Amino acid sequence: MISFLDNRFWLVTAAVILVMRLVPARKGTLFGLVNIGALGIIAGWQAAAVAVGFAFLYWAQLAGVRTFRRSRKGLFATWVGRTTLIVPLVVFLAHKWLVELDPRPAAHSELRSVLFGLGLSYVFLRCLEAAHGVVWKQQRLIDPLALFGYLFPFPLLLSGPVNRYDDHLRMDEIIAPSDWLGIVNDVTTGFFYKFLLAEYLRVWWFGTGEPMRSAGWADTAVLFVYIFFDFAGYSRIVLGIGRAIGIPTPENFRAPFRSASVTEFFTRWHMSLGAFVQRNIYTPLQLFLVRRWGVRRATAVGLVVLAVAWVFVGLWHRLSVGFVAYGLGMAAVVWVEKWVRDRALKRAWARTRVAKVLTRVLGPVYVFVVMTTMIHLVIGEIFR
Amino acid sequence: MTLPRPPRSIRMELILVAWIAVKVALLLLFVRSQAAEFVYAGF
Repeated sequence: MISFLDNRFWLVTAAVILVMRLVPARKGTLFGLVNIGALGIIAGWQAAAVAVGFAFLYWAQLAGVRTFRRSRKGLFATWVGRTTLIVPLVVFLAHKWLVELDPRPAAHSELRSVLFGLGLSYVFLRCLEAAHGVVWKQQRLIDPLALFGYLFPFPLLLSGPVNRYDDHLRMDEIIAPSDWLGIVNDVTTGFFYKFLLAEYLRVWWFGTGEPMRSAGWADTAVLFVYIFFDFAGYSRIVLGIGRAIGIPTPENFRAPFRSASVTEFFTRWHMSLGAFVQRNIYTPLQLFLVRRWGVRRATAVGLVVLAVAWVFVGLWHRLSVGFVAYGLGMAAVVWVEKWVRDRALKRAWARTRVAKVLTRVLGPVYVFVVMTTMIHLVIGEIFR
Repeated sequence: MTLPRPPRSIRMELILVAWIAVKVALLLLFVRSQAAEFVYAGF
């Protein structure tokens, strides 16, 4: 896998930008086509072949299921529709098992390196998003090449962000931004975060000869800041590249350490994942349960939906008991915050200027302490 | 979604150019330092 620090990555990116801006063709299909070459050079031709094969087969499944569901209704048709979620889930679980759970670290090393280059955790989310759009929301099914470009966009492979299917649908209508100064600012800020601030912090705290590990809460706090600069930097570089090529790329971080509550924190940290969960799990599940259980059980519905959404987020990061506990813990924190907010809003003192200033000043401290404590639960699984 | 950005004034453009130059200069300084040998070996 070629990284941002390799000149070949930038040569490939420059070539893709030129093709996308100069060739007059449907942008979604054109990007799918040039993405094959880019993926081949960056992640390897074997990985590119696997990705193209998967995207075309998944396109055939989506097309078949959509046609079938138009002619048939009922429970069987519903389950046929659900196969578009089950197939990527099985692939995702197999990939997770191979990468995280297989007790033989040396086994299947070639397959592991191919799968690693494809960033299958993100591909899984894009599959769910596409299936939700095409099979349930009756959105247009893009052609197989464009679907390949949506599922495996070469700049977004390793760590996302989670791009939206309906944004990709509108790709042909969107004119690629020509704000080159903004694009250069995105890429240089990303490099500054990822390869300078994050790495300088790492060298300063852990030294040059020691691996990054947490021996206590303070180490976890430093690692939390490190993860921010590393991930936000990566996301910003990708945002700049996405803008230059003209592929819809969501913003992923917006000053998360300024948040006054954990709930707000997750609207600013890994925003594309939070928005994905909101669109594809939280809202549909909430509607489904309210229809089944009725509005009188709104509290139970709220609790179940929050727990399911957060356990999904935990398990998506890693299939382990620790991350289930992390997910349930986060759900509990968000629930308590909602409970406090609902009651505090009824009090006159909560609306005073002093209370608002205190919330803005002390809120970020509270968020940092809670988040560091929650991450401390699973830090041993992230940095080993 | 890639949001369109509001237009910038000439003054803001100059500030942005200066900020980009500072970031690039700091990155180059870091790349030439001893720490970079260790850090970039991991990538």
